Amino acid sequence: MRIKKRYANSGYLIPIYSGNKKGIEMGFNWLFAIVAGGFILFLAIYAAGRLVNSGSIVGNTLNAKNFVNILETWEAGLAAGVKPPELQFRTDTNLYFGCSAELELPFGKQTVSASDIMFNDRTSEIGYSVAIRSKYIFTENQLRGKRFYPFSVGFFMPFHIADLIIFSDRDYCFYDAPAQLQNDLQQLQLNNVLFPNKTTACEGVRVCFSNNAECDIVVSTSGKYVIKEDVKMYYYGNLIYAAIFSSPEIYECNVKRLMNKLNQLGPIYLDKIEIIKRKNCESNVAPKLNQLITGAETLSSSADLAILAKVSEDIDSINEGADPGCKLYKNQEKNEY
Amino acid sequence: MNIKSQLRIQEMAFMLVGVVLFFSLVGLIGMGILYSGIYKEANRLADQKTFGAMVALADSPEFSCVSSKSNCIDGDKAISLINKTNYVKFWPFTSLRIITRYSAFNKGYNQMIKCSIANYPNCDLITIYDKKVAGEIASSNFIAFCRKEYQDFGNLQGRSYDKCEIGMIVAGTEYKNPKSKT
Repeated sequence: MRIKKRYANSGYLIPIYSGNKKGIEMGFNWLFAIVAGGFILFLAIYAAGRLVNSGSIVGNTLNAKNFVNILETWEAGLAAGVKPPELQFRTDTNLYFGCSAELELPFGKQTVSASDIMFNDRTSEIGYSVAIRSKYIFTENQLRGKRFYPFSVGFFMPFHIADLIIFSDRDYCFYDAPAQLQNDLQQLQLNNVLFPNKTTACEGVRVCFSNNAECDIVVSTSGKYVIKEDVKMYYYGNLIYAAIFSSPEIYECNVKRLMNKLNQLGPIYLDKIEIIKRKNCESNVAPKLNQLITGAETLSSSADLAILAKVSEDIDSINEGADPGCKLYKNQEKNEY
Repeated sequence: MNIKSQLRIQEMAFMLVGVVLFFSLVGLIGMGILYSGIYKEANRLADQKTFGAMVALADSPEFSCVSSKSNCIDGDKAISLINKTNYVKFWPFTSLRIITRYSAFNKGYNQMIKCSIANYPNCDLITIYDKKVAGEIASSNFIAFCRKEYQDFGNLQGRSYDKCEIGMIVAGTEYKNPKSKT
């Protein structure tokens, strides 16, 4: 093999193929331009890719932030239930929910992050998670779609603790639901909750109030529990909706957060008892209220709710019997489920 | 390698450096334009969040009245929130105050009588918390401020009732400014 060397105007000539005399010769300038050009092109493509990625992260973070901002305005107060407008995103979106009752004590926090669903079912970069501290969102760990169905109900134990915001992305078929529950849900006019007969076809998550092998979720109103994904979640009052529509992890976490909230609200009511004493209002709720606060502090799972429910009902009876001008809070009508 | 070739390589290198610098500058200008509105957007979102949360605050369990009136604050509960530092992180505000009566609306904070458990309800201003951040913008909303009152009819006769006045809830938001170091 002969190495061909020759100086020319264009600089070095480097043999690419030296097997015959007609081998292709490439000037150093060309080679340098190809290598450097390739490097610049690579840099440009890499930078563009990074820019698109960070753009989608910013967009998805803004989506999550907007979502949280909308939640801030939802406060059902003492109303029986509220159906805010359905949430619609511009494109199909994944919403990821997290929950911790131990972080940022005493209230704990939830997080939400978003990512767009692009063509071929691929998802864009997930945006930064946005913290939710003052709301209690009951949902599956991940929701997917363009349109989401929210509703909100108050949670009372025995006074108003918080609003339960329930989010879903799919249809739910309720079989043999108690009349009051059916009535309450129908009043909210939820588009994704259906009450079919046994013979009517209904495509969606099957929620049964009687034991049935074909059910995705079983609710026992006598035992006050909901079985979902083979996990038993106990409920009290309106937490029945939360248990049906949310994942067991988010449910248990939020029940603990609600009890953390009760622990903060309890002392406010204890202070109120002392303040209204100045206006000739005597309340006998304090000993039971202290008992409720201690119980909420030691709650380890929803299974302990039944113990607290008894104390809560005792407080409710005492408050109901108080002078109408001296009630600590407004007593709520009990639901039968 | 002759001098001419070395010069050409140097020329090429300078040109490449120039090209890279040019595209970097174009990229930087592009990024600048793309993200120029990000502070404005962040402030708009913060403002929207504060206003939304503040309007809903009166109906929250910490403030709501015994009666099911909407937009009504129970002063007997609100007063006990003064020393509860746990709520500082709970609500998305940098400060939260309640002006308890209409007659105090024209006064500055310094002129108002600050509320404490001891002087309540003979006071004007309940400061629930104040993070004292620089660049704070306040949003306000009228509310009904209610408290228990006792009417004495004499001869050991009397009744307790809810007395309500027009009050105001004032919540602060931190405005981000790209020029400030915070």
